[in-house]
Amino acid sequence: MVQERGSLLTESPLADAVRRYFAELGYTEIEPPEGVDVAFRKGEHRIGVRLVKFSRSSVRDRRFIRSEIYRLLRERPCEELYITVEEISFGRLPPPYEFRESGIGLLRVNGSSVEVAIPATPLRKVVATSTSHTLQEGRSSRSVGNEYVDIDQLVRVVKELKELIEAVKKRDEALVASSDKGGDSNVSTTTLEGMVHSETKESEKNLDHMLAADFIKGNPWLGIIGGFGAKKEGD
Amino acid sequence: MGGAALDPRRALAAYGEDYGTRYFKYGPLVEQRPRVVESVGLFLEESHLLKMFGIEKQLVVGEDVKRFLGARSALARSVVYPLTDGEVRRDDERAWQVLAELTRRGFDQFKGLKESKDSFDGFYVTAALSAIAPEYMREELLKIHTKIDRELGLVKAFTVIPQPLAVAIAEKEISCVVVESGHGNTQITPIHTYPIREAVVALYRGGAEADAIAAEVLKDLGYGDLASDEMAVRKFKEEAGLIPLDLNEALKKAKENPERLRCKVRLSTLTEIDLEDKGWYRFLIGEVVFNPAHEMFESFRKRGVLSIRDARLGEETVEGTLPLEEALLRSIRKTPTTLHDALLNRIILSGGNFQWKVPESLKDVAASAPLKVKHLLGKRLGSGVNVEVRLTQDPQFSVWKGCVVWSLALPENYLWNEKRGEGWFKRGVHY
Repeated sequence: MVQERGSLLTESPLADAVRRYFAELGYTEIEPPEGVDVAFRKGEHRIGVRLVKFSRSSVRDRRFIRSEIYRLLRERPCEELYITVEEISFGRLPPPYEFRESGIGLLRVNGSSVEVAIPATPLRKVVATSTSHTLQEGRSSRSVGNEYVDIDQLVRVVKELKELIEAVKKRDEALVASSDKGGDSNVSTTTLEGMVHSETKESEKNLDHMLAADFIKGNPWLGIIGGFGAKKEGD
Repeated sequence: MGGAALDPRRALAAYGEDYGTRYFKYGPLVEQRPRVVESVGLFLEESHLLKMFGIEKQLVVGEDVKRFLGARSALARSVVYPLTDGEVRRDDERAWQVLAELTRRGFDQFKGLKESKDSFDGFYVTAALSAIAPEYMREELLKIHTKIDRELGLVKAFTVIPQPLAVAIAEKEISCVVVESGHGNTQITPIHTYPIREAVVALYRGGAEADAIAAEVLKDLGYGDLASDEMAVRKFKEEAGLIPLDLNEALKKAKENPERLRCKVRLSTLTEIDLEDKGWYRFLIGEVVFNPAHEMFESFRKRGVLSIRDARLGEETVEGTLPLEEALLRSIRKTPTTLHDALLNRIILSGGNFQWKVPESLKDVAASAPLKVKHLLGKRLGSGVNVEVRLTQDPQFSVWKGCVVWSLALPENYLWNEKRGEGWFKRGVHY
């Protein structure tokens, strides 16, 4: 069976190529969780790789890889998952859309080089929507592990989110009103990191912060460049 | 003009771009630091297989390149580093495509601004190019930014300044000499409220030459397979390289006591390089930017490892191997005599190529870049001359900082002048 062979592949050239590839991308190899052959970590992000060696039967390979996709989706051993094969052969692989839609990526190992044939989409952690399963087992949902979230906690988060949305709506209305009053249509917004502001006070505060940067504060070039246009135009 | 007189809208829309040979640094002032991406692109060969698997892109840039790298043999024809010695050839279409994509991708990351607020009508963008970049590079960048504005609506106005000027601005120095040494070249630019263009001296050598020497050293040490691994070479260079205060003296001491210079460089868990009794090689890596004409580099030149081209500046040809102190003096001599002393007193070194470690135990033979330059000038001019040399406070990002200050302060009505290559190239006026 292909599956049995897969588990023996962790010391193969296929695995070595994958290890080198992820090491080059700055990942560190970690003990693979159940369900993948090799796994890597960068910060909190884990990538799991299932190594597959083709058998003689293309039908059996296709069926096996499809079943692996479903299994990986079900078990989600890591946040990002790949299936690695030695060559891309359409007969032996499920259609590409099955990879894309499942979010499981496909790596091709060609000699010592590795190519991402289909990039993986990071999977979200499983959130339990019902406690019935865990309750049946006589455990609270939290005790199952970090991947499960307490329903009470979810309710609290949703409530907080709603309150936040309300606050943002109110603030937005106030901004529109103040903007209309001021008649200044050019009041701008800023960074993606949350420096959204057009209220005068807040804008001034952020501006002060920006202009306090060591390379701006007291920079004599501001005066030179500022007067630069007038001087040059007179030339 | 103090900070209080600055237009808040302009402060929020100031954006800088530093087109370096190795890295492209970009971003708005509000982020206080630029985003950095490797200046590289990969052309994916048209493949039915990739298409079948939903990969339609033909060009990927920056860090995405690593995701698509295939066999090493394919790299040479598919990977494009758009800038060579800080320049892009006019007819190198693929390089321009990569540069355009890097620039576009930079703005793409900030398109949320426009979507979130109707009143935001684009950035005031200042790009920095090498002081000796040819005129067509400015023209191409104007075209690229015009196209990006049509696509994303994020470039309200665009202008270009020389990199050394940006450094002087970031350092708040009005009269100084900026020596900017990046991966591809070293530019010496005297500045007195504006770069003195006639006095610019450029040398086509920089980090790339130090990399080349480091790769040869690896080969000589028996690690030829690593010499083609760019990351390994760079790491080895950074860990092992030293600037000798005086190369002859340093080599003499190193050969007398090789154990002092011995070091082990760990490139990965599996690979460790031991220099053993070849520790003296470390000085060659640091020296090459300062004086590649030294006889110690003769064998490298013969092997074709060091082939530094000469720079053509107007009527004059500057030899690529001209010692750095000679190049500095040649540049300063072209400025008015009254400025000479002031300029010698404010020499600013900038760029990643001047960042070298000086181990405490080797302080008698190794030096920092400012100390080395001061030593070379002292030797050349005599010890009585007052020379001050310092590094920029933030060598990697000082060019970007200068760009955003320029974006912040350049008056709105100072429009693009093609002859001078200055002023705002503006939406609604020029495109």
